[in-house]
Amino acid sequence: MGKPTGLVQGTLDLLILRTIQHEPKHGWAIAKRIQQVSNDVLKVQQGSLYPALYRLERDGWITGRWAATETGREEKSIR
Amino acid sequence: MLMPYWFLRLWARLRVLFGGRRLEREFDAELQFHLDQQASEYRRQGMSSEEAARAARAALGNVPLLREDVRAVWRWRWLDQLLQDVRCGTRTLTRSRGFTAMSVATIALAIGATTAIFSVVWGILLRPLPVAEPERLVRIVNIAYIGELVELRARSRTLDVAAYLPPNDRTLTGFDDPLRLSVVPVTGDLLTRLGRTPALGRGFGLDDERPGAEPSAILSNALWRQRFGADPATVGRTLLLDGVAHTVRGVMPPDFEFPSAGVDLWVPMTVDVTNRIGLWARTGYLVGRLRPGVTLDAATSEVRALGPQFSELFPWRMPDGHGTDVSLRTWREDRLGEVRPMLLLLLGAVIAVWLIGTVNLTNLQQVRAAARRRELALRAALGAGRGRVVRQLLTESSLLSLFGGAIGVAIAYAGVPTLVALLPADVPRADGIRVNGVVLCFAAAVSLVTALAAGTLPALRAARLGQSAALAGLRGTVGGASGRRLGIFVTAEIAAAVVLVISAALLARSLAVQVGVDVGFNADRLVAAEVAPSPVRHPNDAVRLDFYASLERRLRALSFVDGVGLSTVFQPFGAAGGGSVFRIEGRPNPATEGGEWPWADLRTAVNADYLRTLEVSIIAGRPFTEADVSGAQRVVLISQRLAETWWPDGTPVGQRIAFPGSERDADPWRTVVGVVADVRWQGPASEGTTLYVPLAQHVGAIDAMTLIVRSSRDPTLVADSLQAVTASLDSETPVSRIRAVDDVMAQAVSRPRFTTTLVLGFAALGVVLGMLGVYGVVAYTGARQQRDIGIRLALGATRANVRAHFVRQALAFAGVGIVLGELGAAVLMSSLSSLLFGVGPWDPVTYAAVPVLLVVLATVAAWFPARRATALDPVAVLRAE
Repeated sequence: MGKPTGLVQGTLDLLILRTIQHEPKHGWAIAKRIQQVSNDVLKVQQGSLYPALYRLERDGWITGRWAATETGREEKSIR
Repeated sequence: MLMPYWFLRLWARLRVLFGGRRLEREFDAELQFHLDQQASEYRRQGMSSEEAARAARAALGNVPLLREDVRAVWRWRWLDQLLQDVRCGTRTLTRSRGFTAMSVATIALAIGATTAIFSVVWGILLRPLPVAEPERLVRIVNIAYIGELVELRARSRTLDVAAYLPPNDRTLTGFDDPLRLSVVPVTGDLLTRLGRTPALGRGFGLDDERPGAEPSAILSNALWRQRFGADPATVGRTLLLDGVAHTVRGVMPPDFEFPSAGVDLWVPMTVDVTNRIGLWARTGYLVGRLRPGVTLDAATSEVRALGPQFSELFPWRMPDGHGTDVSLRTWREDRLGEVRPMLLLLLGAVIAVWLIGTVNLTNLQQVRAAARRRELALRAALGAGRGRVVRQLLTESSLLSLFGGAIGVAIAYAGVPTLVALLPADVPRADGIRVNGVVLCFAAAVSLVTALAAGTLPALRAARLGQSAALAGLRGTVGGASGRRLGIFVTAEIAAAVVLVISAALLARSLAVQVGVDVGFNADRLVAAEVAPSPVRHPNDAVRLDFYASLERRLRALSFVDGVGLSTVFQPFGAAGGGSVFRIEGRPNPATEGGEWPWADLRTAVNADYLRTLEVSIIAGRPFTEADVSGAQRVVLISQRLAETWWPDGTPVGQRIAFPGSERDADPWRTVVGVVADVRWQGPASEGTTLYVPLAQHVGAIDAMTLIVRSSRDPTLVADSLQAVTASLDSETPVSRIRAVDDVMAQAVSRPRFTTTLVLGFAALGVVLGMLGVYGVVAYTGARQQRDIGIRLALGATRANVRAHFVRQALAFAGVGIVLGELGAAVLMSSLSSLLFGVGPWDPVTYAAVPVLLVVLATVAAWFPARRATALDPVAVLRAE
């Protein structure tokens, strides 16, 4: 399986959660924000973000909602 | 709104499970949005729109791979992997045909046998009894008089008590031909106590027990269908039973068999409290239902306290201690307790076979895992975790087990009807045995257990090997721990095989003893039947005796009839009762002076030709003659064991005995004129002590007699003649239960024969599988130790030496197995010793002979693979390193 090693995976999860701590964001915005703050973790592939997002959603850490006004997807922290 | 964590988690999972396609669409839309956003950002940085789109895709990464990863998160990944493993496993298994065939055959045999036996055990022992709350229904044992029933009903605060009498036969007339029916008299409340009601009509009430109540009857479903065409209007009709009109009250449901299968109708039994003699002389079977909240123990202590009080109520002196040994037995125990040892033994035997099969399977898997080391190592090298490899191997063994289990179920389906047909006729509830849902669940569970039991160890080991050995190739030897574990396989298989073979040998020896027992007469070419002259046309004993005399004369006139016997008891049909006590002239009278009553299993009145017809040998004195008529000296014949027991040092011939109830006669004494052989109607285990009196000197009613004819003709032709001759005398007299006496006597040993046949079969299967197991273990060890063998041979060991080493090793483990197996067999057989006859559960010959047999077999099974293992060329092996 091409999944990241434990350390990176955990780091990414924390980065995602911190990014959406204050306001909901959609996938692209999260990717962009994480690139800005960490500069390297997602440099190679932005797509790596998505499996992590879905895993967090599956495990109930976050919940996604389609906003009517936008065509994008927003992620909300549910803590 | 905050959702509970577990709820969100569950919701997300369910969405994934049921909304897979929608999720895929959403994900696509989300990715598209991502690409759009990224592209527009690149455009803002000055790229052309095509460049921006390409750069955005590049930044996102490999989309198909991404999709896979997201899917892995979505789905229950194990399900995916399971399907993958199943596909892969099927492929691997189809490739190695020999291994697969061998494993599937082993499992199919083991599970087929286990399932078939389980369906019998379920159908007889475990299936719910067709009464309400069977655990609260009890048989009251050791008190049986109707007077005691009346007292218990009045005094017990723990039990509601009902009763029934043993089945008796009555003739149904009014149809084309008279029909002999098996009738069970029951108290008015018996059905209520059982918790059953008729399917049609209504049951009896307590009013029906009163003397003078209108005679009525409840029909069995079978009788209703066969005789009355399942006509609902049968209820209310009148039946003529022995010439007495009975009103049909109701029809029972098909599953109602009471007290056993084959009863045609139930009638109320009369409980006449004004008739003291009738009340305290008649016995029946007492049944009780525990009242609400009462435990079995409480009820037991109550009847134990009440029982002894009853003996003073009898109009005569009862033997000391009457009523002190009263006890309660649950209904289940009462009906099924006696077949339980047989079924448990079969179950034990089949579990032993299953165990051997499973060990074999473990061994096969192990061998295969070793052969697949490279493949497994490759998987490990490519990143498969240990758990993943274990899971893959377990999937494979589960596939094997389920496939084998399915074939096993097919075997059981095919085999169960045969098994039921082989089942002795006196085994209760045999008609309910089938492969049903419960049995299928059992088979599925056993298959899974087999898969786990046989697959786990090899899988764990293979996974560890795979990781450590990587691609290093075949190196190292089977020594130390792994060699010991293989040895444990051998030990377990041999132990189970020893238990099987010892059980089978003991049963076979005990069957041989039983078959060899002299039953005391010659059953060859004898046909027995029951003849009951119609009571209307034969109103008293004198007329009936005339009828039998003419019947005997007419039969004897037939050219193919060699002898005609008549007897007042129905011994060939296994009817219980008919025994008698007696007292001896010149010795203390037990009735007045105490002491032990002499007792015979059977007392019967017979015609003069009876003993000659049956070829019962006369040991002393003379047989009956035509001169032993009612006016002449009253005579009696006794059987050998009675003579030995009661006249140990002299001859009984010329001595006189009397039966109880004859005290008021002017002369109660009957002279013993001869001693004859014991006749063991009830099988080899019975003593067969018998008292014979001449038919002409018989005292008491004769409703029906057993007719026994020796003839040179085929039994079915004899049956036809019997019926024709009887009909020529009286068309309303039925001839029933016509049977070849050979068959009747075979019936007596049918249970041991059945058990022995099956256990022998299982033992044979177990030994074959066990020896295959020994063969497999030695072959595997030999293959793994090629290098060692090579070195030894190179260093000067002879092939015979090395071979002997292998055989010795196998035998050492087999020896431990033999000891364990003998212990197991001793424990098993001593708890099931009721199944043995004439041979003890620790019979030394068997326990000495079986190990010899198994050592020989194990040596052979180990020698062949050992020879193959040592056939190598040491130089070639060592070069290969």
